[in-house]
Amino acid sequence: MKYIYNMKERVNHIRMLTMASLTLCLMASCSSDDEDEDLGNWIDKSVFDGSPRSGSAYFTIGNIGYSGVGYDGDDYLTSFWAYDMDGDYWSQKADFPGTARNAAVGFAINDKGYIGSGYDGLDELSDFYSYDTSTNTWTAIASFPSTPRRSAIAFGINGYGYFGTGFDGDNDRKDFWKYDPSTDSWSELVGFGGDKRRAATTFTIGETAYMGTGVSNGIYLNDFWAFDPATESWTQKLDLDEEDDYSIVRSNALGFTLNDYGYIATGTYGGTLQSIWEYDPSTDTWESKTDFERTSRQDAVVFSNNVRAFIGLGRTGSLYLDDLEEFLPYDEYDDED
Amino acid sequence: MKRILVIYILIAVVSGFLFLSLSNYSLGSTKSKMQLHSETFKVGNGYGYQIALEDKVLIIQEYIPILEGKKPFTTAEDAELTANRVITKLLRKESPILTLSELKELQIPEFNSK
Repeated sequence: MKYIYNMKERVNHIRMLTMASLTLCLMASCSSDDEDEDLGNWIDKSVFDGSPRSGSAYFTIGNIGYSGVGYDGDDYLTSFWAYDMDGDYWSQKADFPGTARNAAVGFAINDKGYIGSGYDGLDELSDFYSYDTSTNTWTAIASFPSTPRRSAIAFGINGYGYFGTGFDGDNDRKDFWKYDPSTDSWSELVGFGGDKRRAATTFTIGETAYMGTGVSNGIYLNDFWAFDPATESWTQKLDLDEEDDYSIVRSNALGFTLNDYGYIATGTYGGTLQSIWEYDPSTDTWESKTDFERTSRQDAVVFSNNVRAFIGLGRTGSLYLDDLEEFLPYDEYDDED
Repeated sequence: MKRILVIYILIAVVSGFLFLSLSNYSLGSTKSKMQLHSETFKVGNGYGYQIALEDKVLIIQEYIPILEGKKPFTTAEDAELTANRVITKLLRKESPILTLSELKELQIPEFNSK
């Protein structure tokens, strides 16, 4: 609104001086200057979209979303933020204590958050840290004992963390591991029947974790899996291209849960995507929702606690923190809000 | 007659661009006066800050950013200096994330004693 007001003010200035100079041709040059300004803003956004920035790690505990590390196009980051869903404000928290990195995983087990693995610009990483929200402190936990990697996925369920797939610098991976916070130890899981991949997506509905999407050797994967933590077994669900009108297949997407439905949003498939698909676990079917209304990008963050979900795409709004949007899947689309 | 007209148009165009650059300048200054403001508040024995765009609070910082634990700023001045740096960054359309070197530069004592 402010910007529009300024623009109006400026247009008035321009009108006045144009009248004073009584030159129609000046009017023409003024209006083309205005267009240049708008175009500049737009270019700014597209430059940002084109940068090879890749994702921050994120997790949600209660009504607070946490997001940290990442790559801003110049530097690998250690900074760490919290977003209060109720108050709709941010706070900068204690820096991540490991080396600056991107393509790390974030997950929560009970009241603790975890960030680990990733890429520091030279190497894939295997170190993990836990974050205590009540004291704002980080603690190093047992490092991942297998191949260091980036662009893996992880989720916390039933008091354990699960971590798998990803890219180890030479190959994509298909192994899955379990982290037990009570013994601070890792153990390998067997039985994932899907292919190796990187940049896959996961969401958890109730007592079941779902995983799918991702890419390997340039091929986007179309399989979709459910993980039951009670039996630690995987079940294959219908493919993500089962129906002709499905266009769910992608990588670097967001996965989140809202009102016991799963969502896969944004990401990339050739180019970046704005589309959002809703998964109904009772029927194993997908439905397309209104596209994310901001500029598409592949490295977004999402905070969701099954009651509310917020998607942020970084600095595409007029202000850096201005562009986090709440996703309301059952409201009709309104481009005025 | 024709030459006078050309000169007249030329003067008009030049003065027009002059005004335009002036109005651009004033646009810049209204932008920097955008209602992005900070307030400090007391937290325990120290101070925190909040940053708002008009009525909308964007950032509440009860504790010193980057540092582990929950330590508020020792003085209101420290909190204000830090908040102003964040505002400067936001106005430049930069990320509001503060770095260690920025807090050292602001001479926040917690970052210089180490």
